Amino acid sequence: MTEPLLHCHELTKRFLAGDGVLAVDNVDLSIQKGEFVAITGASGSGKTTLLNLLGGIDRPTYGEVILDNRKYSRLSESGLARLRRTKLGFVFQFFNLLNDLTAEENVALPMRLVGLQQDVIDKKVRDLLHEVGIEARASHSPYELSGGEQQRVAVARALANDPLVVLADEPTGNLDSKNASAIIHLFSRLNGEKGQTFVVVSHDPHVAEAAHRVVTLVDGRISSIEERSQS
Amino acid sequence: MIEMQGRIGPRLQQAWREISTADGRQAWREAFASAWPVAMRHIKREKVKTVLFSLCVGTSVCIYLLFSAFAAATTRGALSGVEGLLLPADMIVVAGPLTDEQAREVDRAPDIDLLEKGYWLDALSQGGRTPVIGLEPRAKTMGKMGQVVWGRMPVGPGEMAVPETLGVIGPARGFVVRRASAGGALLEREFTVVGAYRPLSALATCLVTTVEDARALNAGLQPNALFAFVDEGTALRELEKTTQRILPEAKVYTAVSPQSQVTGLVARVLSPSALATSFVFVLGGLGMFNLQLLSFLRRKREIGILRALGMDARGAAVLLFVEGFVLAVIGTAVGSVASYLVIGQVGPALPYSLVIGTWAPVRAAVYSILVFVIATWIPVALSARATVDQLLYNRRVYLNPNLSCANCGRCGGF
Repeated sequence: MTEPLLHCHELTKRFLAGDGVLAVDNVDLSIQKGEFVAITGASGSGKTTLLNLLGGIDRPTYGEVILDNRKYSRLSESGLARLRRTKLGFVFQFFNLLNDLTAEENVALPMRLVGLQQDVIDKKVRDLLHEVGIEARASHSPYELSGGEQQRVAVARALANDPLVVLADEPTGNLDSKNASAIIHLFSRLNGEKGQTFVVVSHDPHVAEAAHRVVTLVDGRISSIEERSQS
Repeated sequence: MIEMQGRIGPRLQQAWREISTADGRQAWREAFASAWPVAMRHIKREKVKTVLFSLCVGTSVCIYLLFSAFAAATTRGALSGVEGLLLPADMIVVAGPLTDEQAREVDRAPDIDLLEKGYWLDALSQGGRTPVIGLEPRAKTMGKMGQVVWGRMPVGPGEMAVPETLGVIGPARGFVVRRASAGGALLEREFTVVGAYRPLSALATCLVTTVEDARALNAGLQPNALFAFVDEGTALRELEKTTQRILPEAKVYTAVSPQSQVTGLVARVLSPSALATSFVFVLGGLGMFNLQLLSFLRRKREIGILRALGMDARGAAVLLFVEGFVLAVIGTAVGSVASYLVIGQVGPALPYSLVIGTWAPVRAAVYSILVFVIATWIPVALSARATVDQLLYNRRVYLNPNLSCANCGRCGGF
């Protein structure tokens, strides 16, 4: 068995507010390179918290996350930030594009954070916008774009630094069915053609259909892992 | 470095350590490079905030510069009315000619050892406008004027001792002193410089003559001044009281009085303007603080996105700092230009010259940057200390990143 690309062990997150809420409870999960994993579950089951822990956005109360042999617990805040900008890509439900910047500037942002040269950035931005089919809207601000277009820009931004894993939190949750379908198709294509690893939190059954594995969470625990065969 | 570690906080120490290394400097450069375009876009886009922030800084700077110009003009006016007096003694009392009774009382004054009569003239000479004192050759004051550098002190008519600074001319005849008499006639007398002395202090730079010559120039029969040398620790107020009792109409100078008069006057002029300036800067600072804090709270999610994408806490801090700095610079420039325009419009109508000093704009810039740093500190600290999920999901953030503090939440956070 090959070494998993992303692995979490006994991952636990307890929020201390009130009597304490156990959002993620002793989760063990391994994700292989090139996998498309969907994480589903009811509202409040801990999906987003798990994704945040996998993405180094939040720190666990207990347990460990390892990405590409790097243990998150051994990384400082700036070390985690470096990991996020070089090894991970994020897609959010509400797109989370910066309104002050145009579509192409939003896509360029992660590359600026790693200090790439401007000509390299320009070329890559063009390629990525072409890849997600939105090059014609490159100079538009996010508020001039539709939800589906904004999410495509967000996907292009997530892919900017060739991340090992793209983590998506309800990427279709704020889209109509047509745009949702297009985004799922885009994920599947990128996964199939480029071997891009995806971990997608979603309620959408179409996402689950596109995934290799479907992890279901109940009360912060993994209740089932369903392997799916892809045609 | 060791000294620095002992003095400053761990965060500043860490920043200093980072700046000390090439990697650290590179990290700061990258943070700046990534924050700059976002900050500039934000400034361009948030025009209302830019205008309000610039107004806060600009108004403070403008009012400071106007106050400084008014204060400088008033001080100049006040100083022109105060004539510095170079004293030959630690105290001098100048009055009209002493009556015989007053002269006797001075002689009898038991509580002042070195109080003696003499002549005091304010005259013109080749050395410019200068005080002249006339003393008996055996007067104690003569010996107290200072060390004789060359020659001797005057002992007879037509002789004069000069301060060392004038003494470079050497022994010479023809040192002319003129003085207008009470009747308006110009009294003139020619002296031979017989010696130069190094004054005991910078105060005593009088031309020294004998009593006869001084009396002739002063056109009076009686001495008109009392000189008193006092030891360190002498109660000067008591001495002043005694001499004023003897000469109630006299003007009393002490070594400190001219200086203290000027200093006191300047302080009286400057204090209200300094107070008003401080108040204006505090108001401006509060405005800046509110705008920066509001901006941070409104942009928590945006900063959270940047942090999620990999901008570290340093980058987020640089982002807010750069925005604030650019706005402070714009505000300072606007305020400076406005103050010059106001002075250009108002100045000609005023009875005195209103000019902004050379260093006033520099001081204004330093003040506004200091106020900006203080006003920006909390938002910058909040953005640097907040966790990514606090920012991204718009949760409350706390100055103290300690979990127990964040989970207590009694202070409410931001």
